[in-house]
Amino acid sequence: MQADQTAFRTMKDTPAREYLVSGSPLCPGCGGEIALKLALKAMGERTIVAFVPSCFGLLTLYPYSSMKNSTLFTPFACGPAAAQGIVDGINIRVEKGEIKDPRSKVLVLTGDGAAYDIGLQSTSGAIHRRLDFYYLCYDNEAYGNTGFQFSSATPFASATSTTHATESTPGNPLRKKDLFEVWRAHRPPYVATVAVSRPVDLLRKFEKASKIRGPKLFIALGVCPTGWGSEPRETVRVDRLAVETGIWPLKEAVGGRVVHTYVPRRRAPVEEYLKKQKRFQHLFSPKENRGAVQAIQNAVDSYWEGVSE
Amino acid sequence: MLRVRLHGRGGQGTKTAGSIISLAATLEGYHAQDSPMYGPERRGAPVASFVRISRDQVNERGYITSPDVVVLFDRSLASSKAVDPLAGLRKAGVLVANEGPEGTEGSVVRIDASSRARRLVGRDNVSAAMAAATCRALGISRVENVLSAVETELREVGLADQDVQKNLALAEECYSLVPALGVRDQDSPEAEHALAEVRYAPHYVSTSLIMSTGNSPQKKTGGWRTSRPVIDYSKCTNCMVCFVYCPDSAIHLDADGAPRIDYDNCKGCMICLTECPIRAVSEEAP
Amino acid sequence: MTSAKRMLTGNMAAAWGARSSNVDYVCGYPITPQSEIVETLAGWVDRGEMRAKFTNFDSEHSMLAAAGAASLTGARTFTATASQGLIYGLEMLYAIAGWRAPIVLVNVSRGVGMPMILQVEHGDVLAARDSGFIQLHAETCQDVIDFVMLGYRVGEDRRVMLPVIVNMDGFVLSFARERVEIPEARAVSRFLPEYEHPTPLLGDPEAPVAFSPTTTDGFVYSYFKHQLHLASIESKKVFAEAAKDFSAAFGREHGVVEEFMTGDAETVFVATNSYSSIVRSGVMALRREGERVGMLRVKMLRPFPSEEVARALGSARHVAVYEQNLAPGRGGIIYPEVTEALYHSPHRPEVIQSFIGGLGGTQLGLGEMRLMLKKCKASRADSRLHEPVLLFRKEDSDRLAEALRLAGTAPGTASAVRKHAG
Repeated sequence: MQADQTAFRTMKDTPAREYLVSGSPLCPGCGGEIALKLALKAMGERTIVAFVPSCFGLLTLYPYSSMKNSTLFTPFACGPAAAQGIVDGINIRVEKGEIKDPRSKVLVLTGDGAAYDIGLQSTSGAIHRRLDFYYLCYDNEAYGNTGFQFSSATPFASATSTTHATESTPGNPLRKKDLFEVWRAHRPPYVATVAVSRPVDLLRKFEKASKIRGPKLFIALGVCPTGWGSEPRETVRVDRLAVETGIWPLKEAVGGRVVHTYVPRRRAPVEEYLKKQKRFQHLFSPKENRGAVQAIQNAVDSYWEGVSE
Repeated sequence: MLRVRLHGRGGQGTKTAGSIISLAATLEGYHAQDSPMYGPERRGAPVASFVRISRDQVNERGYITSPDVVVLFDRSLASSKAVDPLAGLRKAGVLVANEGPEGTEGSVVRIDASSRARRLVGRDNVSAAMAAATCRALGISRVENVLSAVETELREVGLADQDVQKNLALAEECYSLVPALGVRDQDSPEAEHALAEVRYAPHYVSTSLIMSTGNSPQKKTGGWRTSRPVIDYSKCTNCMVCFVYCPDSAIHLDADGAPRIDYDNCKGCMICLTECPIRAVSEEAP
Repeated sequence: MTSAKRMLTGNMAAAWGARSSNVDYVCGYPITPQSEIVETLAGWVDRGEMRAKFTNFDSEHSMLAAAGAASLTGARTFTATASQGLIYGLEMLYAIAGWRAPIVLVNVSRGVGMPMILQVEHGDVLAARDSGFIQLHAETCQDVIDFVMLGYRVGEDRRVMLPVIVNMDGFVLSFARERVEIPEARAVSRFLPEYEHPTPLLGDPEAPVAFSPTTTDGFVYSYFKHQLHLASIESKKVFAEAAKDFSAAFGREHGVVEEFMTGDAETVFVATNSYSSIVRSGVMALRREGERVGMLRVKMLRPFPSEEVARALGSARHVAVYEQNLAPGRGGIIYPEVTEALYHSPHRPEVIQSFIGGLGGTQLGLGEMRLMLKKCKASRADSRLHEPVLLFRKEDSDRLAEALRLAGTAPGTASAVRKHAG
């Protein structure tokens, strides 16, 4: 999309109306909450949110709800399947003349635990069926709601409460699963990564997706002060460092073709990002684990070497 | 049976303080039980923990509704209707509060644990201080057992050696500042509660659903704050950066497009301060 | 009252039940012995013979999630599964009941592995007994079609708003053809009003609704869980009303239980599902021999019709509870429910004995009936037996011995105990 075709040129174009409201039980400085807030602004009032256990499961905590939208809270594995039911149910009722078309959209909202692990099958099914829906995964790279245990989104060398950093192991020994590519292999019409430090990019991606029928999938970096051991006030900074170090590439694939929507001109060294977080603290103190840090840097460099657009 | 209920905010060490009191009592030969309130609330949100101390086996479970002792970690909770920390406190019950001016009047013990913790430990974590003061006020444990409990429990939660040492000094100081009130061991059980009859209700009542969506601003999470962001409107350019980045939608735009902070719900994450491009946001006391 | 008489399998009857009820939405996922139901419905939808949406899913868990969610949009929703599929989706059953989404789910009962088995055992549907679903268990193919319609009528009633499982036996009923009356559309429209969800999930910004929020408060959970129970209890009353209208519309009577020759019976057999037919014929045969026997068939397993069961069994001396399920360490699952129903009865039977048979589709016949009667008569009031009796035929025992020999695990054979293990 050309810049002149978008309603979002600068941050000043961010819609004023809020759908995510204050008073949620989420931690101060939650990065994922910013992503959801912006996504709902872009999607608007006719959005039905189907969401699953995660910290965001607390966005409706009886008798309070922190989203103005209609919502359905479902078991962990089946957000996309529930979305299918909502879309199918409304469509057939419209088709049979039982109701007027409510022109609603359905957003599946999950953390990485559901997106990368337990809900991957139902997501695969929904994408494959070309369900017309949005999927937003806020990825805080672990099971944050249960106390920050390992998920398959956990990056290499991150300490979690089930991958401890010891003298012999630098936290998680496995690399982060590439969900973007897993999703893209299903050939959805639209898939993107987003980061809250680039809100205009985020809004534009939701805007672009809104013009496409079928599965529209988003992975948002979800900076998690509680789990990551970063300062709440530095959430957007940490997010920005993830982008500027190249650890969190901003990209989209329309019809399968991957385009990077922001390419950091000179990538900052990964240490700048890692050092802000206690989950990587063991890489620097009591003594530096140069090998692990270099491995992270190498993985980032090798990723960007393969990037042509 | 002595029932202690501790009220604090997530991150203040309310649970750890309960563990310290419970272990100190155990080291003195009492039977004790400690447990935290389980809730989804996060850092800064009101939390509670519970300790039962008895000469005999503890035959009670769960939350304490009629405590002999209330330990209040955070003055701001005292006025919170939702928390109501003094609810059910027995006649002649003891209140140990983290606030100045220090001193003991009747059954109210005030100790400025936060200031002391900032001075001796370098941060406002008062678990050791409040536990030590409580142990002393209740007369349930000698100082050596209190310090031993502090050491064990703080190591258990992963505190580094030097921080444990600082906390031991803090605990010892707080222990010495409080008089032993020697609260009497009460045999009376927890208060009995009246029961209600439950009838079947129409579908929209009897199904768990919310029709007043978007009502959580009524929760008023502003009390979680440990710092208050303040916008200097003489500098503010209405650039909207703080509005966009506020995770909690606690910053609105007024009719002129100026950002207005909803202090009833602002949790004080201070992202607005960090991100404000012209440094028009300052940090003040909560 | 005119209606088409056809020879239909239980599975086809289930499909006709959905079609006759004008369902809007069908969620499908195959599993033996249920697949024919979704195949049939898919065919009707594909060919435009039925105006509904059919979607194939990636698992029973997903299928049930979609079914429940669609029901909240106000779409009348149907789905079907069996055995492992029901267990795989078990988590969703609790969710759908908690959502108070009145879908109808046909379960074609089949044993739950391991070992894997395709034939009937009711361990699958009874594992779902505490999910909050209403459960109606069918004896005949006609029951299947009737129960699907009754299920929507009762489940969708504003006073109830609960999902319903209609159970039928795998193979024995699912693949057996019987004469079935397919109801006429006009009669259906009189009996079954359109489904209207009072607070539908449509995304209307003027009427937002947040379904099933999380709670950390015991009093909130306690209240809604108890309301679910009261809704289920309420469904019995609504079922009675619906059955009356059903009889007027279609001429067939349905109660939560069926009593057969129980009036003067000394021994009553309690049965469910398709083998009730065999028990009925056994009762007639034993009656001809002068035995005062009868049958109580429980049609509604949830809510459990304790009063009706107690009333029907209140004058019997012996009660033989025959069931096709086995809870290891407990015995039959229905036995304690029947026993509990009778505890408060002023005329408690002298003997209540549990019998387990038909597991994996093993046969039931007069021999078993006679044995059950004999066991009951031999028991005295002071020797109430709590251990269930497994009905296992001599010929099956011989076949088992041969199977064990072939498997190399027959008792005492050299290969039964590996040398290094000894």
